[in-house]
Amino acid sequence: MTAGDAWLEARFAEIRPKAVAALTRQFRDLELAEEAFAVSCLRAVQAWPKRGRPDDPFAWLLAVGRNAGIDILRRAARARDLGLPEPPAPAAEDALIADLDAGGLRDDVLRLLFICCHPDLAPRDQSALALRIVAGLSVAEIARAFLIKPKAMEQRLTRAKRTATRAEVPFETPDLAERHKRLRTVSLMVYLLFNEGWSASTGETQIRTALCEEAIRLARLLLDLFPAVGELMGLLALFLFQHSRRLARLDAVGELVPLDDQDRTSWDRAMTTEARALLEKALRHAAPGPYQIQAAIAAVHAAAPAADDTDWREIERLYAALYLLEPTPVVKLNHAVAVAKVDGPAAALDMLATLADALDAYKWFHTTRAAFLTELGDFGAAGAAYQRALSLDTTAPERRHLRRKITACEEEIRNDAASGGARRIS
Amino acid sequence: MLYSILIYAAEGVFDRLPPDEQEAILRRHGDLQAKLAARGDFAVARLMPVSSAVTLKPASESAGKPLVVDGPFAETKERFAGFYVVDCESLDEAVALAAELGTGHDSLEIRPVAWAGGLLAPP
Repeated sequence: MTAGDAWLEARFAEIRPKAVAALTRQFRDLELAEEAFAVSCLRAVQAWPKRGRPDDPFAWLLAVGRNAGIDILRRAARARDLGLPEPPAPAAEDALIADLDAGGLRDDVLRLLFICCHPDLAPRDQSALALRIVAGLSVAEIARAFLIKPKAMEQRLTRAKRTATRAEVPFETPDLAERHKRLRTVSLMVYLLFNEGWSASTGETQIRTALCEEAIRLARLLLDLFPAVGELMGLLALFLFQHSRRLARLDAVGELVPLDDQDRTSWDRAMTTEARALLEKALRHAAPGPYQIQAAIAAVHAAAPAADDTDWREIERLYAALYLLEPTPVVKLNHAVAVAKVDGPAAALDMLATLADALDAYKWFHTTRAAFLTELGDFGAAGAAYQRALSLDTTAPERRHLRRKITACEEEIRNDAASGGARRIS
Repeated sequence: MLYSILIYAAEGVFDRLPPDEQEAILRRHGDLQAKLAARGDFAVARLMPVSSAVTLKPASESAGKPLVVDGPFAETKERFAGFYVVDCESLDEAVALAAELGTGHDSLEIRPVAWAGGLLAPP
């Protein structure tokens, strides 16, 4: 592949979401839109190196794609021998672009993403579908990132596409409430896509980083289309803060390094700087939301040169605010961690008592509780909590880590007994 | 005469290029910067994506102060991505220097600097 080819491919990938979205509205047919865009890219590969790149590559690809789609429809009609269907009026290129500039394009892209978020689809299938249709990743690439066989991914995507296109999301311009509903749904899908990549366990992390990168691209796309939405700034800022730590979170043998132990000099400064700028911009809107608050928490971590410098008081306040917007047990658990740093483990342990039922099957609940109990010197209860975590679904390195912790607790108990015995003798 | 070399690029494309191509592009920038540093003072900046930008729109008579809106100045396909400011004898020289970056993918605009301040303030 020559340098020019790589550049063309990169450029097509950037244009794809918008072009496929616009063509889908034009033809009311997702498959036809994808096929038409593929044809227009092929024509561009032949035409651009010879005749020079057009001033507006997007408009060029769109115009050629529209004609290609009409050709495909005509051929299909001829094959059926039903005569010509009424082809969409061939609008002039200028008119087409004027239409898109009027705000149609952003709703087209949002609609396309929203179609992928069909409520009958599992979150993973929603993301996989968006990566295939909107981001244009190959089935093989998506299968690799989701750690399943290409054949199985192909079947899942086919099923997901059938489900998604059944919904018939209307093509009219949505009103403000509907647009915000779609934005919330799509943002959540992108958020879960990032987490899917980020929560990868040891050994898979490098492969699954691709999911984080695609989530960042989708967040950039959304913010590009809706530049004044604070929560989209928050979402992208959150991703960038997290992703800035991608190198520091793996040690030499590829095991995950906890935040406190990471080498902060290897955090990606360009990313944290951009994230901070976005968060600052979002704050001007004075319309806080869960993504902005999570980004603000990440910003506090990013601002600390060493783990000990972390402003836990600020993080505690931010988690309290997040809990007001999202009163979930997991948010409360994270809040408790911050409370432990500020007010000590006893206060935090009280908070956890109310979560015991809701989070009994959540391993991090038990490891967090065990850490608090260890701090308080209750090694018996701490060991039992680590045991409980060990009985849940864990990865091999996690099990090694938990067994080390349990051994340490048992040792403390033995030491206690020995020193207690010594006291009795004296 | 001070000349600025303005770089226009489609956002997100560099990020998608294979690593060796990214390195080749960065190497050309590194080489030019080394050369300019040897010539004397110069300034260079790479700008963040336009989603980080705000634009001040002129004040309306009723509001009395500029309106700050999110996003770049103009909605165009190519986005202003960075610039150099170089002291040159002639436009030809500025063109020659800019050409060292190659214009395969991105447009470069060269415009005489009317005024420079801060780090770029004339002595």
